[in-house]
Amino acid sequence: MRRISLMLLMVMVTTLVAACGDLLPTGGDESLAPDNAVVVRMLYGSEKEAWIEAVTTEFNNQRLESTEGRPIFVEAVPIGSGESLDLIVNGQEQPAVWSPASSILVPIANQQWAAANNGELLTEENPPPVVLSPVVIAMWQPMAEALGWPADPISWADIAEITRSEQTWADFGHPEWGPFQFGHTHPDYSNSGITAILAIAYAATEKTRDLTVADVQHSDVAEFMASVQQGVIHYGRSTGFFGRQMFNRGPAYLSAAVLYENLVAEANNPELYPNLPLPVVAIYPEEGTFWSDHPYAILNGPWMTDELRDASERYRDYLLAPEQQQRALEFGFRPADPGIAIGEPLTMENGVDPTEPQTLLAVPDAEVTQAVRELWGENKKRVEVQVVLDISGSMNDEGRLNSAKQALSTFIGQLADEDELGIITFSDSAAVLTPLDPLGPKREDVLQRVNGLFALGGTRLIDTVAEAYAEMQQFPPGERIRAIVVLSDGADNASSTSPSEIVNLLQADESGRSIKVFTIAYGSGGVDTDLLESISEASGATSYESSSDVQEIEQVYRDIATFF
Amino acid sequence: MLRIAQSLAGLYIVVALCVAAASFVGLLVPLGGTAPLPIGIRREPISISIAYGTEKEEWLAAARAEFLATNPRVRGRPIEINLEGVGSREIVRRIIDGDLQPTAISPASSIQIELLRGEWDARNTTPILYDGNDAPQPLVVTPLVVVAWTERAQALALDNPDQIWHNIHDLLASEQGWAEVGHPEWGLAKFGQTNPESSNSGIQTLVLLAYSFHEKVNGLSNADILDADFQAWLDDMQEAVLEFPSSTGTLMQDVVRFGPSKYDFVVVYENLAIESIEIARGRWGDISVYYPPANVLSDHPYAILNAEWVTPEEREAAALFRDFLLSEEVQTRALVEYGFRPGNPNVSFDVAGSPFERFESYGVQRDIAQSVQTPPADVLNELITLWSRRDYD
Repeated sequence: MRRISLMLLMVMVTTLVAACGDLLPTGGDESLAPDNAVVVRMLYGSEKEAWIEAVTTEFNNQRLESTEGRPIFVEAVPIGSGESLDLIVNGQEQPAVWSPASSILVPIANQQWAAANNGELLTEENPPPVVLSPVVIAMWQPMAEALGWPADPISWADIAEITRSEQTWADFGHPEWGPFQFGHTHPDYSNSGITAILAIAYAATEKTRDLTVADVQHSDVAEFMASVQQGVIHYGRSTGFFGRQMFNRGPAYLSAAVLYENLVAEANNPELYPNLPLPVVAIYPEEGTFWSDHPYAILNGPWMTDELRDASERYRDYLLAPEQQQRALEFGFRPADPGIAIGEPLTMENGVDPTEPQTLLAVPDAEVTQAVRELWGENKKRVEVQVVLDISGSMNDEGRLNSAKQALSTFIGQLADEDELGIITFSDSAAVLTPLDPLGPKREDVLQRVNGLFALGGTRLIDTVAEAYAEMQQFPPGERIRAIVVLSDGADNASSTSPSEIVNLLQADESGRSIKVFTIAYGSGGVDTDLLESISEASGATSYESSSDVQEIEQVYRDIATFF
Repeated sequence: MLRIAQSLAGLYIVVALCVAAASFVGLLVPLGGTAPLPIGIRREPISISIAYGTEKEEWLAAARAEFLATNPRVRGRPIEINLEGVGSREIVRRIIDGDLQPTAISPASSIQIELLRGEWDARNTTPILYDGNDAPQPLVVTPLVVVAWTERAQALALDNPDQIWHNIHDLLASEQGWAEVGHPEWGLAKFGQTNPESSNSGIQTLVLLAYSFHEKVNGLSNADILDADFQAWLDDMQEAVLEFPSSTGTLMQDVVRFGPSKYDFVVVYENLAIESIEIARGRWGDISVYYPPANVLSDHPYAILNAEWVTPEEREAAALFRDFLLSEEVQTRALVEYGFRPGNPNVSFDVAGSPFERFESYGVQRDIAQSVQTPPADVLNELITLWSRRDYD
C-alpha cells in the first residue's frame, strides 16, 4: 500500500512538473549534494523517472565514498531521449552517464560524436540495459475488441491503414466513437516517436528486417508516411506526457497511442488513475515491435575522470543489484536482471501479456534510422498556429517585450515553410500583425514586423483568445494540428467575455484534434496565472510560467513546438 | 679482521631472526587454517594477476576467495590474486601488443593458447609457455550447445542431432519464417551467436557450421571457407541474427531477458545453458538443450607465462592456485554449482546434484559426439576475415 502511494505521488509530481512546463531540470536535488561531492550527473529517459527517483534517493543517502575519499552523489535528470542525445552531441550537456529509453540511439550518438571528435566513440557499443519494456500500441479495450483483438492480432499495418484510409469507428460498428484518433510522440525528442516512425516505414515496405536507405527513399514510402501522419492528432515531447493525456482525457481524445508496456500497466492501476473511463490494453503488433531497453552508458567525454567513472560504475552496479531490480518490476518494468521472475503488476488483468512480444522488428543501422527521421520531417503533419501576444504597457517592464520578441523569432525559425502562422497582438484592442496563412512566402516580412513591435495600453486578453479560437474553428479539423499560443504578462482589464465563458467554449470540443491553447504566464508583474492555466487545461494543452529571461522564454516556445 | 668478524656476526643475527620469524609464522599457521598474521611481522605479499575468459567468472571468483582463506604462502610470503576478466581473443591480442602483462592466463580454449604461441614466437626468441609441470593444463571443459525455446524447438521437430544445422538453416532461410511450421505469429526465424571478432564461441560456431556444410570433421581448409556455396549458406544464417553480443555470457543473459522475441536458436557454452534453465522459466518458459552432431570443446587451459615480468615467486604462487583449482573439491563445485565438466580426469561426474542428472529432461547429457579437428590459425583467420567482410553485424 505504501509503495502504491509512493507511485501515485510520483505520477502526481511528474504531472505537476509537466503542467508547469519545467523544461530542463537541473537535477532538483543538486542543493542536497554534500560539499566536495563527486557528482554523477545522469541524463535519462523520463519513462523510468518514478523508479529512478525512488532508488536514487536511497543511493545518495548511503553517502558512499569515491576512490578519492569524497562522497558520491547522483544527480539524475529526466529528459526525452532524443533531446538528451542532441544536447550531449552539441556539447550543451556533459553528463557522466546517459541512459536513454533505447539502445537504438546509442549508435546514432556514437556516429554523431565521432564525426565531431576525430572518430572517438561517445560510449561503448553495447552498454548494459538497466530495465526493459516493449514498445506497444496502447488502446482502449472495447476498441481493440472491435478490431477483432485478441482473437485476431493487430498489426502496425492495420493501424497505419485505418489511419490513412480515414476510416472511423463507424466502419467497425461503433459510430458513437467518432473518428479513429492515433498519436505518437515527436521523434526528434522522444524514443517512442522514433520507434513509431520506424514501424510505419517497415509497414510501408512490408518488411520486418533489412530496411535500407533506398527502401526509405522510395516515393511510395513517403506517400505512406504522409498519409499515416495525417491521422495523428498531434505529437508531444515525452511518452509519459502522451500516456497521461490519453488516460486522463479518455477515448474521445485518443483511440490509440504508441507507448511503453509499463505505462499500460500503470494506467490500469486504480490508485494511479481512479477515473480511467475504460480498461486499456497493450497491443503487441503482429509484425513485431522494439524493446525499450534503457542502456546505462558511461560516457567517454574529456570531462570524465577515473574517479567519476568509478563512481558511475558503482551507481550502475547499484541499479543492477537484485533489490533495485525487484523494485523496477513493481514500477511495471521487466527487470534487466534475468534472474528476477516476471509477476505483478505485469499481468493480463492489467492489460499486458508477459509472454509477448513473440517477434521483433530489426533495429536498422544508424543511417537508415536517420533517413526515416528525415522522411518524417518532410511528411509530418503540418501545423497552423496562431500566436496571441500581449503588447500592453507593462510589457516594457523588465525588458519583457524585447525578450518575448527574440524568443518568438526563434520559434518562427522552428516552423517549416509549409506550416501556417498568424500573429495577433493585443493591448486595449486586438490587431492582426499577420493573418493565418503559409509561413514560407512571408517569413522575412513577419520577422521584421515582430521586431518592430512596441508596448502600449491595457490587456484585452480573453476576447482576443476567443476571437482567435473562433477564426481557427472555421478550418476543418484533422488536416493540420491546430494550436494557439498565448503570451500575457498581466490581468485582463478590457474584455467582455468572462473567464468561465472562455473555459466553457474550449471544453465543448473534447476530441484529440481540438484546437489546443498553450498559455505562457510571463514576467513577475501581476500576471493572471490561474486564468491562463484554466484556458490551457480546458483545451487539453499545457500552461507555462516564464521570467523575462530570453533563454527561459525561448525554452518555453521550444517545448510548445514539440507538440507539432 | 675484527670488522669482518662483526659483519659476520651481524649477518648471523639477521639470518637467525629470519629463521625464527619463519618458524614463528609456521607455528601460527596450521595447514589450511585461517589464523591471523602475527602482529609485528609483515611480509610483502606476492601479487599475481590472472587474465581469464569471462565465462567462468563466478566459479573463479568463488575459488579465489576460498584459496585466499587458506592463507597460502610462497617462501613465507602471502599471496594476492587479481582476477581480470578479458575476452578470450582479447587476451592474446593485448599480450602481443604489450598492454597486458598477467602472471597466468586462462582463455576459454586451447585455440587461443596456440594463437599466442604462434604470434609470440614470431616476435621473440624465448617461448612464452612452459613445458613440463607448468605447461598449459585444462581447468574445466565445456562443449557448445544449441539452446532453443522448447515450444519452438518442438514445432520444428528439432530432435535429430545429425540434421540440426540443416533444419535450423532451412527455417532461417525461409521467407515464410515460422509460418512454414504453422506459427506465423512467431514471425521470421532468428539465430543467435556471439561476434567472432571478439568472442571464442562465435568463432567456434563458424567452425562447426563450416564443417557441417562440408560434411566432415577434420581438415577444414581455406578453400572450404572460400567456397561460394558455403558463403551463401552462411549468409542465410548470419543475416538471421539481430545482434551479435561480444561475450557468450551476455548472449545467454539476453536470451533470458528478451526471450523468443529476439532469439529462437542460440549457440552458447553448455555451462551457461545449464545455469539459465531455471531462471528462463521465470521469464518466458522452458528452454531445451541440443548437442550438435560434431562438437568443439572449450578446455579453459591455465597457462603460467614464461615472461620477463613474472618472477620465480609469482610463478610458484600461480602454480599453487592452479593446483587448488584442480583439486577434487573445487572441481566438484565447478560441476555441481556451475555446470562445468571437470578438467581433472580423476574427478567423477557421478556426484549428488550433478546438473547432468537434474537437467536431463531438458536435454543436458554427459555423452558428447565426436569433436571436430581444430583448424590451423590461417584457416581460423580466413573465417573471421570472411565474417568481417560480409558485414553481418
